[in-house]
Amino acid sequence: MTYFEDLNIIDVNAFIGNWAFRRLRHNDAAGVLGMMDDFGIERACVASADAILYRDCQAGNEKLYEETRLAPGRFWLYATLNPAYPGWERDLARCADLGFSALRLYPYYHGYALNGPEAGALIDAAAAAGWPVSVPGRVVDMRQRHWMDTTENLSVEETVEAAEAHPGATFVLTESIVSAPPDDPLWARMRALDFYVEISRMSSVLRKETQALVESLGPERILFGTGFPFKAPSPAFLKVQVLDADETVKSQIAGLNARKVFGNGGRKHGDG
Amino acid sequence: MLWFWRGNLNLENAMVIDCHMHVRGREDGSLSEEWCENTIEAGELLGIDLFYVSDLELTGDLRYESFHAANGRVLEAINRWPDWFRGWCFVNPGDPRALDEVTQRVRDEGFAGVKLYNQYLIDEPVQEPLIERCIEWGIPILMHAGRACDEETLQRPGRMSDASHFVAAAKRYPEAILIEAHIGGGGDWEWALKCLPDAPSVYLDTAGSVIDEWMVDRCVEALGVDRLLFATDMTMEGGVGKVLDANLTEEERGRVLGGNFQAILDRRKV
Repeated sequence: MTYFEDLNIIDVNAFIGNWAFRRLRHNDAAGVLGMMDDFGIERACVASADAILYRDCQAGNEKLYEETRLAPGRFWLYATLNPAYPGWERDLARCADLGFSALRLYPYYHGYALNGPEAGALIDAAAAAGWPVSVPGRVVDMRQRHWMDTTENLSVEETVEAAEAHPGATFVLTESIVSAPPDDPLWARMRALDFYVEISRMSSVLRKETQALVESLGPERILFGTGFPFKAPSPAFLKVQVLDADETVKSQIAGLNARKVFGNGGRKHGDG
Repeated sequence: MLWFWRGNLNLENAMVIDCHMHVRGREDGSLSEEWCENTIEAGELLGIDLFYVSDLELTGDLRYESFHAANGRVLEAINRWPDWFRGWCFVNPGDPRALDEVTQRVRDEGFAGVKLYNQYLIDEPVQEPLIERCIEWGIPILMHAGRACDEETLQRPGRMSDASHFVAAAKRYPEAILIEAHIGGGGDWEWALKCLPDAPSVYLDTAGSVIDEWMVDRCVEALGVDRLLFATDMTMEGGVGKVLDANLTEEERGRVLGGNFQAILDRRKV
C-alpha cells in the first residue's frame, strides 16, 4: 500500500542480505525493491546484513554492490567497515570507488569502542571522504537474542560523545529511542553537531518521542527509516502519518533531510 | 486524519479492538487522565475503536489493596470514557481475596476477563481456582508472557510464563480461554510458535515493541488465523502496522483486528 502519494520518501534504514539468527524474507535487492515500490519509497539507504557477522565485512559490501548495481537511482549504499580488522583503509577506498555513500559501524558486533582510537581513525577517514557515519543502536531486540548473538547495544550518549569527538563528521543514529525532557542538555549537544536521528523505534502518539524530536532537536534532523527486512515497514509510515506536524515538516522527515545527508554520495552508483 | 487503511477492510459491522492495553496511575494513586486522553487520540488517529485495559503491570508480592486500587483506576477510565475503554481485572492469584476481586469486577462491574502478570506461572496450582472460575463464567485470561533471552530480563523479579507453561495449563484445562500476551513482547517468539501448536485452545496477542517482518504471518502459519488477536500493549503504530503488513486476506485481517476477540467475548456466561 502507498501511504503518501505526494512525498518523496527515502528510507535510511534498510538491509539486503541474510541474518544468521533468523530467516528473513524479501531480503535480496529484488525483495527490497518490491517493498519500496509497494510503499512508494523513492530510494533506500541499504546496508549489507551479511557484513554484520562476516569476519571480513568487505565481502558483504562487495555482494551488496553486485546486488544493487542493476537498480540505478534506487539505492544509496552503506559501507560496513570494521576498524579493528586489517585493511579497512583499502576497503574504504574501494567502497568509495564503487560509489558507496556512507559508513556503517557496529562496534558491539565487531569488538571495539565507538569512542576509541580505532573507530576514531575510521570516522575521520569517512568524514574526509564526505561520508555520513551511520550507527544503529542495535540490530535486534536483545530480549530475543540468539544464544550466540551479542549482549551489547549502543547508547545514545555513546553516539553523541563520538560525534562530539569528531565535529567534522555527520552522524546518523538509527534503531534508537531518543527521549529526554525538553530542558535536557542532550538536545543542545545534538543540535551543536551535524547529528541526525532515524525514527523507526519512536512513536508519534502516546509517549510522543517523535514529537519531542521535532520540537527539541528540530525537524531538519529527523530521518525516515523502516528497518526492513528485519522490521515491518508500515509502522514507520504510520509514525509520519499521525505526527502532529504540517506537510513541510513531514516532507523533511520523509525524504528531504535524507537527500541532504546522503545525496552528496553515490557519485558513481546510480545517483540519479 | 483519515483512517485510509480501514477503507480496504471489510469492517462495516466489526470493530478494531485492542485487546491488550493499559491505563496508568499517577504517583498519588489517581488515574492519569492525560494517558487516557493520549490513548484515545492514538485510537482516533490509527483507527482503533476500543481498548481493553488493565492498569500497568505491578510486579512482586502484591496484596489485595494494590490490585483492587489498580482495577479501580480501570473502572474510572471506563466510566469516564465508556466509548473507548473496557476492563481486564488484574489480580495476584496468590492473594486470598483474588476471587472476590474477580467476582466484583467481572460479574458486578462488567470487566471482560482476568489479567495476570508474573506473580506465578500460568500452570502453577495456585492458578487453579481462578482458571476454574473463568471456565465457569466463559471469560478469558490474558497473561503477561514471553521467552526472554537476555540477562536483564531474566534477572528481574517474578516468574514469567512462556509458551510451554501455557501448553501445560491448556492440557489440564482445555476449556479455558488462555491468551498468551504480546508475541512481540521481546522474547524469542519463534520459540513460542514451536510450542503452541500443541495447545489448540491458547490464543496469542500480537502486541509488543518487536515488529519483526514476517512475525504475524508466522503466527498465522503456526496457529491459524483464528487464534491471533490484535493488540498493542502501548506500541501503537507498530501494533497496527505489523498487522497491516501481514499477508492476510482482508477478511482474515478483520478477524485478527477484532473479530476473533469479539468471538471470545461472545462466550461469556456471566
